[in-house]
Amino acid sequence: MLKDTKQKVWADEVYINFPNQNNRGAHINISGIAMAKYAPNTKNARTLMEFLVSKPAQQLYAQTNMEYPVREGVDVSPLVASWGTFKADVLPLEAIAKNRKMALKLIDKAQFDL
Amino acid sequence: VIALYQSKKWTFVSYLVALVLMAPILVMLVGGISAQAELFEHLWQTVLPTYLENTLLLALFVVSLALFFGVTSAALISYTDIAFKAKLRWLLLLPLAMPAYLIAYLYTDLFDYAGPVQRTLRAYFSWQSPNDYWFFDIRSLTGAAFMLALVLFPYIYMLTRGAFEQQDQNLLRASRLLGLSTKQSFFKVALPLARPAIAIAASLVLMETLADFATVQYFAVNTLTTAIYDTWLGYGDLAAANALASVLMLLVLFVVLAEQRTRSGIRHQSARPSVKRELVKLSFIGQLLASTFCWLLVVLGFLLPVSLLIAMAIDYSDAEQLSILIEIGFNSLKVSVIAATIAVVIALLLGLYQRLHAHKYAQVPQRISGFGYAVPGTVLAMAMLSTFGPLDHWLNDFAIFIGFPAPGLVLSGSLFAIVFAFIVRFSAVANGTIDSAIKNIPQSLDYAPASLGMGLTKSLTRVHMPLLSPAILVAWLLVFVESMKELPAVLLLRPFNFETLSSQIYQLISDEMLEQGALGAILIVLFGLLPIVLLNKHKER
Repeated sequence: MLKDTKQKVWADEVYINFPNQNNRGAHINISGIAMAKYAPNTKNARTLMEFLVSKPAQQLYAQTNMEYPVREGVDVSPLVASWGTFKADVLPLEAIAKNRKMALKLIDKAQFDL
Repeated sequence: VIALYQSKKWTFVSYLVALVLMAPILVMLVGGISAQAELFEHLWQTVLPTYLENTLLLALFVVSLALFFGVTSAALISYTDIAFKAKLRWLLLLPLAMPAYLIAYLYTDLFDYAGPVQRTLRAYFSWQSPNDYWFFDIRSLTGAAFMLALVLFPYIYMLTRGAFEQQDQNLLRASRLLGLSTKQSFFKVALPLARPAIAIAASLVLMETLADFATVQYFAVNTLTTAIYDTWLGYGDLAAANALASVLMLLVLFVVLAEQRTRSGIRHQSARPSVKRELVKLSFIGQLLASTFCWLLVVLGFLLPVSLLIAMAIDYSDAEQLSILIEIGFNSLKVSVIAATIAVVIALLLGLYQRLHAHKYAQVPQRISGFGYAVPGTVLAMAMLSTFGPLDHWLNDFAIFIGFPAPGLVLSGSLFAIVFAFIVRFSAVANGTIDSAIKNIPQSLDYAPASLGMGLTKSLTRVHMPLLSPAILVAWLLVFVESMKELPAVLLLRPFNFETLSSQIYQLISDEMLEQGALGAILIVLFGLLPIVLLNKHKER
């Protein structure tokens, strides 16, 4: 989008706003990886997982995919850095996953989607 | 009619095929009705009434609009001297090639708050905010109804025009002699005579509307199809999703039964198109209004969206887009070619079975297998999952039990489920084409080879097959194109990392990046044009 002269105008109009900053902080969605208990190729899977959290791979995540790296010591891309820092929600994802069904039901009850 | 062959094997295989095709739907219905779905109760108490209401309202709006568009244009083409009639006659069919979700996206781009239309209006009248003026909201139930009606009305136009053109003109002349004006004779004779055709077309539109997923999903209008999708992917609750699918299935069943009732009345039509039709001469104003009406339908339903897509493709296509297109295009080709081939084989099996075993129940397998066309893709997907999921588990347990490695989800997690769903859904299309071709073969050609001592296989390969080959090609192409376009079943059933043309376009539409897939979208429209051209040629002959 930023390389397209027509679309760059639209992108420049976007105002970045981190939600919940005076409260519990912004929720962060993570890209995770897990190995299935009965996976047939455990050794290769392990190698891949180790590569994905290595410094060079995390740099790719940051520079190419514009994600926040999970590894300490890897810098975010200059564009993402220009948006500044923010307060993150520390509620563990396990807790969020556990309450997922209840949250969905609440959404239905409140008719949030209607 | 004498039955030539009494093959027990053929009977068995025909019934087996028909039952296997319908079995998943039965499994789903049984599962959906008997399940103790605690979640279903929750949905019923919270959101389901609204979803149901949306579904019914949408169906009502789409059918009314499509009737208005289709019957009016058919009447103008058949009974007036409208300008450019020869062109409009087939141009009005083109919107059928446009998937509703594509025009939904393109028109949202055009008419939304940030779109060029509203921006121009704001600049011209120096309005500052949405509070300064009223503009229709396209992302609404009415908007979705318009989108669907714009691409579905050609069904009604096509069948109604056909009915008008086949009408016994003597009846109309008699009514004129008895003192009716042209207008009265149209409304009191021509229109009522076309009623069965109109009803069949309306039920087709109704089925397509009930099956729509992507348009309503994009407009955030929650209907039963989106509810099934959300319940399965959001809650991961198979039983509740099945229950919802069963509700939708019952609605569809109701439409099918109603359609079959109207079909039984169609015999009252006597086809005697020999006498020339009396055309109404339109006044200048009438000509202007009629032309505007028809051209608007053509432009809004086809020409404008196609131009927008081409403009997008010119602006944004690059080598990378092309290479992705080739890769997923190949995926689409693969599933569609397999589905089309199997569907044609099944249609031949059942069609020839009915022909050669001329007894009362010989048409039963074909009737059963044709029912799938009415089943929405989302419902079919749930049927596949609830049948092949347990079957896969059973297969794996069995493999381990006899000491083999577990094969994994070979049925529900592979292309098998998608192809199966396509065959169930589009068998009726192949059946219809091949069946009418079989009926066109004179019965004597069944007897002649036999009387000359030719066996069944030889007679089929040397007499019937060559005569049927054009119809086989048409049937194959029709199923192929329908499979290329089918979306919701693919979305729910595709294995990881498997995209087809339609699923990728849907994905890009959800991410508001259709320009990245403009080439693929154009390709889908081109494929959609294929059956229109084919059917048009077929009919003119």
